[in-house]
Amino acid sequence: MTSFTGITAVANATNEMAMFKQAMKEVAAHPEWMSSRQIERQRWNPYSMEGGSTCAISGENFAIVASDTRMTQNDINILTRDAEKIQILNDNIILTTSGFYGDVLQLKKVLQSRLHKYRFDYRSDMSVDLCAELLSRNLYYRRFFPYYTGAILAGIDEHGKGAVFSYDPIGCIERLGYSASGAAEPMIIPFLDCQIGHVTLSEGYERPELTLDRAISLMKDSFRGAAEREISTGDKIHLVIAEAGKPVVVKFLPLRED
Amino acid sequence: MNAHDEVQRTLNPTCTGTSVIALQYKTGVVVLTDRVVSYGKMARYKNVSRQYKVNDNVLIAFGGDHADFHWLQNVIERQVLLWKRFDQDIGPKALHGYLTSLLYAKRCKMNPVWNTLVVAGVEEEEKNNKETSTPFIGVITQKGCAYQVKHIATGLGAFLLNQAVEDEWRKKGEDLSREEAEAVLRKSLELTLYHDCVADNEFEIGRVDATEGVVLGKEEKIIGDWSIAETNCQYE
Amino acid sequence: MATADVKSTVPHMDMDRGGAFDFSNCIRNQAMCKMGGKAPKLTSTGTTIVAVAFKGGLVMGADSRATAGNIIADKHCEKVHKLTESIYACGAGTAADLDQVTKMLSGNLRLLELNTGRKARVITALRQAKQHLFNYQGYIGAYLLIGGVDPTGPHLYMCSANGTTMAFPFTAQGSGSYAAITILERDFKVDMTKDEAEKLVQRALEAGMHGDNASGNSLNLVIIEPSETVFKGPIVPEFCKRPEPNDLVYKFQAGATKVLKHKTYKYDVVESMDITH
Repeated sequence: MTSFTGITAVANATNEMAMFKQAMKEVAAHPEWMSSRQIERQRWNPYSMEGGSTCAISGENFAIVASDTRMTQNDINILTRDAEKIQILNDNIILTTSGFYGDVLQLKKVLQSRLHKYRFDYRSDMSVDLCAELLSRNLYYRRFFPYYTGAILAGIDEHGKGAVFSYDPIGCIERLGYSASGAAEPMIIPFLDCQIGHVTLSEGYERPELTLDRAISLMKDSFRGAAEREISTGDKIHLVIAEAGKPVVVKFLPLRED
Repeated sequence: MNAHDEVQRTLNPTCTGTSVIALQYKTGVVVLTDRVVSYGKMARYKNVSRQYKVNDNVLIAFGGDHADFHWLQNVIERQVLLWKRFDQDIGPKALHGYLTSLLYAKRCKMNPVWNTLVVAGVEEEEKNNKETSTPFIGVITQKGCAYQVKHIATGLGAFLLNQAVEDEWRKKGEDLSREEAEAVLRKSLELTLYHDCVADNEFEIGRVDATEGVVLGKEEKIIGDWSIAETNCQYE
Repeated sequence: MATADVKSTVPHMDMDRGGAFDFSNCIRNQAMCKMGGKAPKLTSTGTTIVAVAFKGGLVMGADSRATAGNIIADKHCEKVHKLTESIYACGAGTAADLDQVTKMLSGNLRLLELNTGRKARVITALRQAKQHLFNYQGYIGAYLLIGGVDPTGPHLYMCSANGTTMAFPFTAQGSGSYAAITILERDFKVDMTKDEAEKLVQRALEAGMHGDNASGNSLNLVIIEPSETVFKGPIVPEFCKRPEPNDLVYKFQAGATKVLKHKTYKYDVVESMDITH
């Protein structure tokens, strides 16, 4: 049996070598730098990326959401320093989205109209859990022409607890304690993993409780840190604080502008 | 998508306009566009306006494909008439929202409107009360990306002018007078002229003012300062 | 499969350039890409570099941000390279190429100065750069502003990666050059004073750093005059400063990090050395 698999391995290797030789021959005959691909016009791309980052943290009785307000063209050119990426859908639901800004706007409009209709039909505001499922389905509806966005839905659920739902562009949903999306996501998530998740902390060390004040401070610091090292994050922090039984508070804080 | 679609869709613009520059001042908005239609890099047609008066409160300027805008102009006109039937005048905010959805829907069909639109106007909070109206500038890109600004330059101007205009605007902010705003725009056009090969020195400045409404500009011309050319003719 | 077999099927390509770059793997690499491999990506620096001539001298300047994709790799990167005592080069493009090209130029110019016993001229630096870059058809991604003062006066040249060169009274390069050149066009005058030129370069750099994501952090200036060369920087503009400090202090107690695995190595002491002093 062993000798048999040995033979197939050899056969596979020779086969691969033959294919590689064939590829070498083709490439030598038509090198890439001579191909028409160099001069061919690019197919129109329906997406563009406007940069920026967003983040959400939930606690016992609160959820806070933040994003930067910069909007970028072609990765480097700043279009505006006052773009809004957070939408307050109702007193309990906040949507924050990064990615292609056209889709960000459309997603906002779709959810707003669905929530409006829900109010009309049921005479009460939708809860964040329902809205989370709704958003997931709306994203998956466009499975083969996706909204190019990293959405995060945050709010206060029916039990008065903070909730954060994180999505991928085609509607995979997950309820988390905290989440980030956008250009600085790879920088913010590890920071929050360390400070809120305490994933690196060994047993017997103090784990500070996640109060609203601490969450706000961590949120601000994660954006300050991201603005230091990520080029498309900056200008302003747009901070939205939802606390159970209190009205939603909106704040703007300065960030570096370079 | 098949080869036939390529012909029917604007996947490459043909006759185009370049930058639009707009700036908000104390009581309104000023908008500058040049008056040339380019066919590639050729200045194909001259004396063509890129500003369209929608009604007394709204002015639209565009960059990108002229044919696409002519189509859009027809759509806008019908929308305005629709509002008229309910005895309403469409405001800049509403029109901006409408066009955002329209451009986004078109891009979703992979049939984009090849324009960058600048919707300028004054938004009346109360009907026929000039006291409450506020200036408005909204931008929409061909992919349906929309945002509101106090100052904007599109096209190559987005690279060349955005920062200079922003710095100029920050000095005075909301207190900028109309004359000052227009001076900034004229200087801005001169500066694109030096670096944008499809920009033209014949231009117009339209404005939307809270009291005067839309005033379309007259054709103007600047020469600029080309004396630097004389220091610039050596080998290497 | 004999190697002779391979040789007969794949045409031999002579791409050896003596002691210079080796292109012999080009075809192999493309064949590998065809088989599904991925080629490594180069890092290039988004930059704003600016230079302005004034009466009798030259001011050059650069921001100090080096980026790798959308991450700031270096906040205090030095983009003003010294070629000789009175010739400097500002670089935009691929970081490694710039370092190597400017190193080569400064070496060659120094040798020239020692051989001739005179100061090198700016045009010499430019010629060397453009001939080197042209040889490599733009594959060396170095975009340079070469400027300085020599016995024939102040000179400023731009040299792009494919070997194109031009002379300018003022110019800017890099991703922030659009915003910067606008300021230069607006405020440049022929025969400015040193002070005016310095302020203009700083303003242009600040516009580039403000409006361009890939430029920022701080700026460096070099003012070259026949009598002396002055280096200024790093200057940090107001918008590049952190507007607010961090809220919390992040300090970890000793031993706070979880130990995931222990492993003990045994070794014999063969030789030891006292390193206490």
